[in-house]
Amino acid sequence: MSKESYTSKEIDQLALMASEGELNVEQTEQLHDMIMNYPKARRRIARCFYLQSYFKDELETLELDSVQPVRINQMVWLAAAAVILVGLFVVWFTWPDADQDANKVVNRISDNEEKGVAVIHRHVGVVWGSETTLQESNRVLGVPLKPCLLEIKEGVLQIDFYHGATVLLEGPAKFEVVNAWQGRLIHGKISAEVLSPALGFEILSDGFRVVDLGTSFAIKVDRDGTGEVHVFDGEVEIWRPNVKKQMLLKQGESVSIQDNTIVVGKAQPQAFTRSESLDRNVELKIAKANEMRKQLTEDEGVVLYYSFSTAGEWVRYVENEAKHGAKDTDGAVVGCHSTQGRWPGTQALGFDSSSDRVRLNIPDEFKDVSMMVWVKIYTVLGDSVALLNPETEQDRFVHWNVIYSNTNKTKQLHFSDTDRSEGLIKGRAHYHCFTNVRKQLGESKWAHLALVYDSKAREVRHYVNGEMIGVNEIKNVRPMQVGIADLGNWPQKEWAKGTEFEIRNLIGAMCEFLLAKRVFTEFEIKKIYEAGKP
Amino acid sequence: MSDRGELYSTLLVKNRHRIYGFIYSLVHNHHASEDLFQEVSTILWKKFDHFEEGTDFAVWAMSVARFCILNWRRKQSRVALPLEDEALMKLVDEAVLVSCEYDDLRMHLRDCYKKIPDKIMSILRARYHREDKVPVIAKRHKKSVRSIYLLLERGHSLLLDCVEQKMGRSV
Repeated sequence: MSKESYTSKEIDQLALMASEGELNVEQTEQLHDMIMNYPKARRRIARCFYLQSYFKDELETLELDSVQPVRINQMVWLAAAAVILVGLFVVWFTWPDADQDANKVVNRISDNEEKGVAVIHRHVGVVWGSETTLQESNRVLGVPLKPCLLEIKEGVLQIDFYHGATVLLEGPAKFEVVNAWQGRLIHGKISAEVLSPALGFEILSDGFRVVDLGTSFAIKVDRDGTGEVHVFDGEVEIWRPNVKKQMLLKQGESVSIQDNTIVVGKAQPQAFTRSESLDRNVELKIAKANEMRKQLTEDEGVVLYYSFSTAGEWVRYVENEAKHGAKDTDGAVVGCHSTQGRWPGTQALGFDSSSDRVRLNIPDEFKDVSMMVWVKIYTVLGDSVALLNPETEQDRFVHWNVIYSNTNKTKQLHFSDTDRSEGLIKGRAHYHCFTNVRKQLGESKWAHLALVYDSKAREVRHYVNGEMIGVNEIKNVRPMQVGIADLGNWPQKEWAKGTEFEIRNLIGAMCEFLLAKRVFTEFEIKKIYEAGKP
Repeated sequence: MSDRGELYSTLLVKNRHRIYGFIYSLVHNHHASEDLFQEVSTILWKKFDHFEEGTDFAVWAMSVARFCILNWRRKQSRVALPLEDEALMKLVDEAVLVSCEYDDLRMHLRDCYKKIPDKIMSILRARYHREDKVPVIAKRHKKSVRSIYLLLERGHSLLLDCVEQKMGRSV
């Protein structure tokens, strides 16, 4: 029955069963074959056996990471002396109390758990639910998660448990991170990829407990407690309350569990979002967004296009990528930091202090103007958030803001243009959109905002996420000029110190700011949003 | 203690892990391994005049231990390694070779064990240090016997892969 070769897994499996005295006839023959014909397998088996003896002898020393040869040697000295001097006494060594040992290990585990048990690796289009106990500031990639409850209304959240299990939570769902080895699915769908080191990872639910045996599987739990388990690779054990024997579910199988009824069927991978499909999905979305970006940068009407992908820790400018943009229109990055864009692997500019801004200068005058930006607002400090605010010592300038009412808890869009000469304001028009966009601009979500100044139609139109939410009539058509302005802030005004106007800096992130000298139609704006939505 | 007695004790202390590991590798029972170690120690002392100073004491001890082990196996109704003599002797020879790399193995294990997840480590500890039986561990951890075997196997694999990598070999 000799074969080409044996894998490490086959060797380790047989070595373990041999040391446990649990080999069956076929396995005994295989072990014989390995030992007789495969020197490397033979060496691994012998090492494996030594390993077990080593654990008996030196595990405590190993775990304390401090060698204590003197103590052990003294004991062996005694053993040797006893053999020589006293005769044939049975001498052996005493070992530390097992409970003491267990306590030391418990301490070690506790230390680890204090630092967190899992981490959010990716999130795509996540809308957080109110029952989430994870602080809003910690709902970002890479922050260690302590045990917590996560509720997502939509989107996909990837959680990497410290011991190697990866769980993909698909909204709407409620999931509890219990510890580094356990999660609890209250309702919704998850898929899990469990790498070998995390063997034994468990997902709990009201009606059953799933213990992984090195595998890829998915679970769905409805609000009424009905559950499904699907195994795509490997095996899992399913334990149910009051049922002594566990059920073994293998690759390609699924089981539906409702109270005491169990129905076995075929696994349905297409019913769940899995890591690889998420990757493909994200790649497709990024490709679609990049295609739109290319079209926009080549558009003859677009005079400014910042993707913010060129900014970094040491690169303090953003390039104007518009092919038909004017020279010297790159933006200067002040403060700010690079942060994740709408998808993992993409970049945006993060704003988190009152000095953060992108300073730009577009001196040309335009008859029509369209502006668009992807923005995420974490919090509003004052009563408005600057999207684009001007240096007001210019003849003409525009303001584009999100206005916040703490009383009514509303967020509204506001645009104004100002005509000024010789220090006096000759004309200013306010175009306020009264639609409350708090929902679209809330909960740290990416939102696409657009504004169109249409001189021919004599309209200012406001858009959020591709939908027109308000129109204002233009009474006096004036040339539009941005001039010197700040994105995400406004040029410092001494007069504003201590007033309600002082704080209007963005606390959040921004990507893909566009300024065009032509009118973008509602259809075009919708198309841009659809191509770039997370 | 005579000079000869002191030398014997020193050598036994120095080589204790290698000799015990060799015995355990072929017996897989700590109580039996302890008894055999004592038996071998006694024989070694009796025959110590035949030991040539400067040669490998552990290898000499293992040549004695091999006969004690074979003798012990003959008396057992059931043994952990149900191998025929030919395969057993091959394994015995291999165990002697592994005992010669024991110091390296031990040194590498000190690094490698840190890679073992806590949960697997606790199972390894229960099985090999506290010598709990697998069904007992399964009950305590509320897992199946099968999953405990898988965790033990995984622990072995992680350690052996790491050791082999450090020793510059792989299967």
